[in-house]
Amino acid sequence: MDKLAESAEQRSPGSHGLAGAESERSSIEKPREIPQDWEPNILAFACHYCAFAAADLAGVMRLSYPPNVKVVRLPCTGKLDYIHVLRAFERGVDGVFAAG
Amino acid sequence: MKSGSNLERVIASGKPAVTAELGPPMSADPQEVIHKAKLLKGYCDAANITDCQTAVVRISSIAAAVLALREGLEPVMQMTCRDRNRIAMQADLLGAAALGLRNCLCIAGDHQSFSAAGKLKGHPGAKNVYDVDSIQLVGILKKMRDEGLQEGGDKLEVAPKFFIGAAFTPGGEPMDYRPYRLKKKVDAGADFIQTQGIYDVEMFKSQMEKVRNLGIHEKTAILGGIIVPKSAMMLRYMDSSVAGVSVPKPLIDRMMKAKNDAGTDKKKAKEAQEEEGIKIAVELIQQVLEIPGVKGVHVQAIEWESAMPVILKAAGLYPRPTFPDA
Amino acid sequence: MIVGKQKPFEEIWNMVKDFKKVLVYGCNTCVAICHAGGGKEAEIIASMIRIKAAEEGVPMEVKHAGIERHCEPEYFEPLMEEVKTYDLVLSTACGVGVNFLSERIGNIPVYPGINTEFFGAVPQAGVFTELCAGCGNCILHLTGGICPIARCSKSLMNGPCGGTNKGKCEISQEVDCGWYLIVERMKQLGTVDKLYAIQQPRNWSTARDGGPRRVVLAHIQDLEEEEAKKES
Repeated sequence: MDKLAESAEQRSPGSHGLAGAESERSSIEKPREIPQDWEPNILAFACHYCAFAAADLAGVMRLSYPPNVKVVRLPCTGKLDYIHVLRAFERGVDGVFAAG
Repeated sequence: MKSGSNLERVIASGKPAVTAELGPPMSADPQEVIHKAKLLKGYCDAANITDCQTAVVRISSIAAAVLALREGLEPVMQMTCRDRNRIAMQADLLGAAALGLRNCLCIAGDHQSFSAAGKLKGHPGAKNVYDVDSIQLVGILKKMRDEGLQEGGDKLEVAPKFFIGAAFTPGGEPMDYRPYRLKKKVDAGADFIQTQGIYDVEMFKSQMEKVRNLGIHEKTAILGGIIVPKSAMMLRYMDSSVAGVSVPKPLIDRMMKAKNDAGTDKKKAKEAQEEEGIKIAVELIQQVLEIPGVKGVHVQAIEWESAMPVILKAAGLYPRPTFPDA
Repeated sequence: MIVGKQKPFEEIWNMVKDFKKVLVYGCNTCVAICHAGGGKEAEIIASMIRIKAAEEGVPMEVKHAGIERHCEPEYFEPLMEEVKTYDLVLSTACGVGVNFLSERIGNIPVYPGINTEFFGAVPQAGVFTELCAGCGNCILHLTGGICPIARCSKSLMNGPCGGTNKGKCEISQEVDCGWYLIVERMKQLGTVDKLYAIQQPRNWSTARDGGPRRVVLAHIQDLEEEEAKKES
């Protein structure tokens, strides 16, 4: 019926239904220039049973890792929640590293 | 006579009826409607005037129908359930009848999202109405005409006399339910039925058998829908993307052959396909009219009204019957 | 349950940026299930606002809280005194909660933190689907338990339109044709003959079309009055 009247002429094949993808989310943070001597402040969330144990072993072996990384031990990385990451950022951490 | 419309007279005469289609423009200029009406006049018993098809804003069906009527072409106004509630519908129906319109096709209408599916911006954010559906609209028209009552029960001093139409998609899913839904339309009061475009004649035959078993064909006039194919691409598109339409492969192959045989000249390829399209349309018309219970054809030559005379003459449907007292 | 969806953060920021003391107020029932506006999400939104405020150099105090339900006074009244100490409450409850709190909070604005979508079910984790439109006159016994008003894009009452395409709706290949589902379900139940009867035009006055709706249970009201009398 009239459905066809336009369809054959106007619609491009495969174009169906409501158009319009979801608008891209903008970042909260503003992009800014990075100073040359800048070092990021990193927080690592590590699982007690693997990544943290590995870090421990590294310590026993007297291997060093950069001082700008702080480690938080979790019973399991499954415990890590969005809010933990956000709280870290709120407190000035530049990057979060989850290992488990 | 329920309405005294030309279409009703042709159907009552027992001769196969022919309806066509006229799409109003996206413009306030009446000339396009007048031009198309002139092309179609004499080559159909009535022409459907679409009601903002694909939900695109155009000259309203009623206004364009009146323009066509002035040119001597009998219109079938269309009314979708998408844009009006029952108050606006009935008001428009009274107005349409007062302006001399005698045929009305009741359809659900394309969803507003269609308006932006092609190249146009459309109005996909519009609110739709769907206060009533097409079957309920048929019932409202019948109640107005035969009982002189509005849907709410108030009396009409002069009832609008419409020949009431509805649509049927024989190839639509769920196919086994479609004949029963058609029966509901006819029980609600549909005097004539125009079907979605048919390419798969075997499918339509088997649906018509079910329709006959339900006795529907005796209570209404079923006009088989014929969409004149213009190109192999159009056939392929309709097969894959248009709901309720399937195109058998041999038809697509025929069009492809016409295109390929014409060589690399694009103009020639276009002409060859159009010529083949007309042949296919004529064959479809003849095949559809042979099916018991079919009372006519609804021929849509979309934006190609000039093809109508050739098709009708080739199908042996010209000249159209006339009635001296009309 | 009522399904909600978080607003884009930019929209939230534009709503809250001119306020000095903001409470992001979560609701721990429906909108918590759909991960849009529970106490947990309120905490996340509060944190994001604080980060953004710090970025923009806007001094702003942002706290969060969450209560069981925003649509019944019993739940939020105990916290009301504290809530009233803020300049703005960004409620992540559904629209019902925003309205209800707004009526009772006095001169403090309550803004919506989420978009309230529909009544829905959870067919699988993270997927929510609209199944009921709350029209006030249920006919599910006639349609195999599948609602044509909510699940047909045109709310048709008498079967599928011509737009059914391979069981999908004409609006999108992602959307099932509600009427296709109804017919198939009725066939399965052996009750497809119910679909042969014409459904007359509906009385929409039981739906939103009849104006804002109220359900009043007189016997409960009487009991409340009796209780009040006894107490006085």
